[in-house]
Amino acid sequence: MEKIVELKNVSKVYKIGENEFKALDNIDLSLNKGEMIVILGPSGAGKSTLLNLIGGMDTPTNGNVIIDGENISKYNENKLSDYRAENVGFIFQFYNILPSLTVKENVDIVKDIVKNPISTEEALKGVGLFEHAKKFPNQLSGGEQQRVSIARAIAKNPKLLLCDEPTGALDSKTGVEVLKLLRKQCDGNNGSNTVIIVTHNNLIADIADTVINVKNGKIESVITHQNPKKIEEVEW
Amino acid sequence: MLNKKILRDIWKNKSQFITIFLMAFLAVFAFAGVHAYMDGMKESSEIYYNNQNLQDIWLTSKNFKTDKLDEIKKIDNVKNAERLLTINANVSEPERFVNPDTNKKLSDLVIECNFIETNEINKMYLIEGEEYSKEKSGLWLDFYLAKKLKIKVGDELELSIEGNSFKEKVKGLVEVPDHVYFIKDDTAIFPTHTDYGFCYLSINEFPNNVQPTFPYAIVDVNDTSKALETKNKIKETTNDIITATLREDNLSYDGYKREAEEGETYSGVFSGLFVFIAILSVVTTMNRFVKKERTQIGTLKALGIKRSKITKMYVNYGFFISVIASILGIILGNLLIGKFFLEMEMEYYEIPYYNITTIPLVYGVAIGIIIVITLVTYLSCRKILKEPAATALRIERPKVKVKENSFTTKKAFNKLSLSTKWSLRDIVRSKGRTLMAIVGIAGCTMLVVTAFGMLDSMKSYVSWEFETINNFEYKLSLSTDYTEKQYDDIISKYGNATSQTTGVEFKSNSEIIVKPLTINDTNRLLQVTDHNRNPFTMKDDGLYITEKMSKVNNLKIGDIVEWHIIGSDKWYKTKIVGLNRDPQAQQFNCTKNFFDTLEEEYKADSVYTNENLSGIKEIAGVNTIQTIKNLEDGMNSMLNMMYSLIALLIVVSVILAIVIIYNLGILSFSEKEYQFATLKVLGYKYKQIKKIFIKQNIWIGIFAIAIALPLGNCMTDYIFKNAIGDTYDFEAMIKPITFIISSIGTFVVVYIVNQFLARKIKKIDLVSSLKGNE
Repeated sequence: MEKIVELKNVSKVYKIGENEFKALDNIDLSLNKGEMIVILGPSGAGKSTLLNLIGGMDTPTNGNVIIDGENISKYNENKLSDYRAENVGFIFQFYNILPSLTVKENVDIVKDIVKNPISTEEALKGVGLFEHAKKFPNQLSGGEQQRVSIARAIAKNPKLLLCDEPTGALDSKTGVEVLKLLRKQCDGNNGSNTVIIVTHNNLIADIADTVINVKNGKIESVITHQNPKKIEEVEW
Repeated sequence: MLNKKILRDIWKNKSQFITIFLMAFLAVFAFAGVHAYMDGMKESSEIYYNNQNLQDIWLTSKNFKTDKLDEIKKIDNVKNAERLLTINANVSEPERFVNPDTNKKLSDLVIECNFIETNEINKMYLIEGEEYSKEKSGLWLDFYLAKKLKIKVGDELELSIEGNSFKEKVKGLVEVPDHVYFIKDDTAIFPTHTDYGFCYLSINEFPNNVQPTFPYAIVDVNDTSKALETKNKIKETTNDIITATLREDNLSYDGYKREAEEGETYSGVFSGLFVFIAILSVVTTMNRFVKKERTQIGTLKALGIKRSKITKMYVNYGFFISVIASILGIILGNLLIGKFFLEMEMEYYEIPYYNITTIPLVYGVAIGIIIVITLVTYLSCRKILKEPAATALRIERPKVKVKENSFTTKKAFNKLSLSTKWSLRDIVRSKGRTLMAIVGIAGCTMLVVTAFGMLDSMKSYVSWEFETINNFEYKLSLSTDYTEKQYDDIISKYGNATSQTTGVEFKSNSEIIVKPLTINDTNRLLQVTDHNRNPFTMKDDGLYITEKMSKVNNLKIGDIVEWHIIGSDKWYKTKIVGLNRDPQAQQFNCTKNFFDTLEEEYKADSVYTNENLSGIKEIAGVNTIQTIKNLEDGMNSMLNMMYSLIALLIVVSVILAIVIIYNLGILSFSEKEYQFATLKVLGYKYKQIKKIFIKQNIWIGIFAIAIALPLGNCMTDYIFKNAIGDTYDFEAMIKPITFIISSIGTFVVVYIVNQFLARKIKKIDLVSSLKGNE
């Protein structure tokens, strides 16, 4: 299968005062295009760091991060902005939508930075929020706010959809709805979109095509599911 | 343990605490400093007047003979009375002296000679030399004049009074309490201490060939609260009293008092504004700081630490910072502003000992600032402490209220760009911060406009007085007893542009008011100007009155005024036929033709000419020769002092503006940091985010500047109208360039500070910003 993400000898070291903390320790990893990938691990394992490096939000201390054949580890701030704008959609645990913009405007903002966005209407319809377009974020429930965040991410038509604990702040039922939307991204668009979810929730792992277990900054295991569980069957 | 947290928090949030400190400090610094010298001026003069026994009443008559003086001394409440002869003398060979301001040799030097007997009232303060005694020869010279012209004790001066020359040795250098504010004549405003001074001599030294008379007497009373009654009693019981005036009407006493009070108005306005802006900014900052600490307050509460203990800890931030700022503000305000300006004032006003003062009001304001800052900290903290620990542990989400009629929901609004929509919504959402920013920036701009505006207005006044009204090069003040021949000679040589100014009393309601009347026969060399400062020719059918005087005394064109010349019992009823405006003399005016119809004798006291008199030092029948240039120099000395004051105001305003704009920018930035981080993650570039951040602040800046310009004009007008008293009449005249410079200046400050703040966008750590939000 075609590779979308390749990490070669990647390390990330944080300096805290005089101490060093190794968040990722010499990692090698390859991820396939069009898959739903779950990165699993306990708190402090390094899974968010891994996601940040893939998303161009951070740069590795050592090693190379290759996305769709492009090595982004040596990109400067400007190039990383371009990379994020054109290739990556982010979804956060606490949504990170902009409170002073309406639902529609929150999705519209990607138009200023992306060359070929999908229409706001389409994105909102895709997440079932078209009728809430004129509302402000604080008029929506948590699940609806997360759907706005997904609409904003998919409006960019990104190669990679990176999700950091996307269901962490949601109840089981709403979480399932959100996961369905994410799965839809992998299945749609001729299967060219890749979704990477960081979570510590083992139950979510069952729906993934590939599960990567991270522990103490290292990849502990990579499991491939030939027949991932249906999302409707997941409950927590 | 909590104390450690206080210190660490202060260190961690040092820029915010430095801001709070600076604002509280600047407010107290400006207020204390300006008051230190104003109140210092007042208190120093009171001590000086008391110690040197300044007279309570001034009297003029044809001659105060011994029996007349004794008669006055016997009047109830009169403690003592002395008589004197005051006359101007020309100093021979004035070119021996150099004017240190222009570095040029003097062309004339006039000294007001006060021939006295005893010196129990209005006592000389000896700076150098020997004590005065009636039996001693020599003169006691004006210390300020001596200092400027480098005249020393022991030097000899040759004086000439009406053609009679005599030589006197300088026996002492003195300052005298009724010569604190001493100017050549009423056309000058500020003393120069270069070509005009005073001296005191024993009456025994009066030139032998002239018979001395005593036209002046000074009176000391026992009970000053009854000075007015005593003055009236003297007028009633003593014959031939021409004028009797109290301290309040004395040129020196009133001129000095007015200077201190003039400052009081603008110092009150300026420092009041500083205090207001600073308090508003501190309130916002402190409120935001405590809100930022929300989760920590929740944590401490959840740990079981008592509410009072947490409150005390947070209140301490505001309390100690404002205490330190206030103490330093008072100390440095006194030492830097107070001393500097007091020294500067005392270059003009002759007071031998002076010091800055701190009045209780200053401590009151400092305590007020401490209380307000502490109270705001307490109230912000209390609000969060009231919430259950679980709620306080969560970050307060910004509330977005959507109103159906809000302009941000209208169709046209949706067509705007994202950054415009964002900025407008943020302005509407953060009303408090926006209002604070507008008040802060507008306040600072207003201060700058007012500072420059005061200078513009003063320059406009100088131009009005010296380019329009005084349309002559030289003014010859004639001696009181010039001969007809001398007058004819003067007229034939220098032209017949003359005037006479005499004191008149007029009835206004039940009061009798004394004002000057100028009979103008100057062929427009001394012009009268209308409301718009344009010169006009007076008609010959009645009296003209200055606009300010007409307002104060409720007189208008067509009214009949009842008046008489002081010294004459003949009362006239005359119609007011016109109004004129004069910046510094509120009085009656009329033409000589009109005056002649009253059958009063016209005796010119001044001659105006544009002939070149530069080489002429003495003219028979002329007391003093004044050049318009000298008068203007005096004014320019005053303007020089204003430059320093204005420079100080501008520096403080700019610092305050930078601090406020920076502070509000920081608040605005920290509120939006996670939103900027989100945009950055989405792929927005630095320039795009910077545009969003700066746009809003630039709009606020422009709006604030726009409202500050008319406010600055109003404030300058208010200062002039309230500070200058009834004698002066000029309003704010601010040049368009001043508005432009102030606007551009403020805009540049707003722009630079925001550019500086925008650099923080580059430093946003995406990971920790977004995590921090969680």
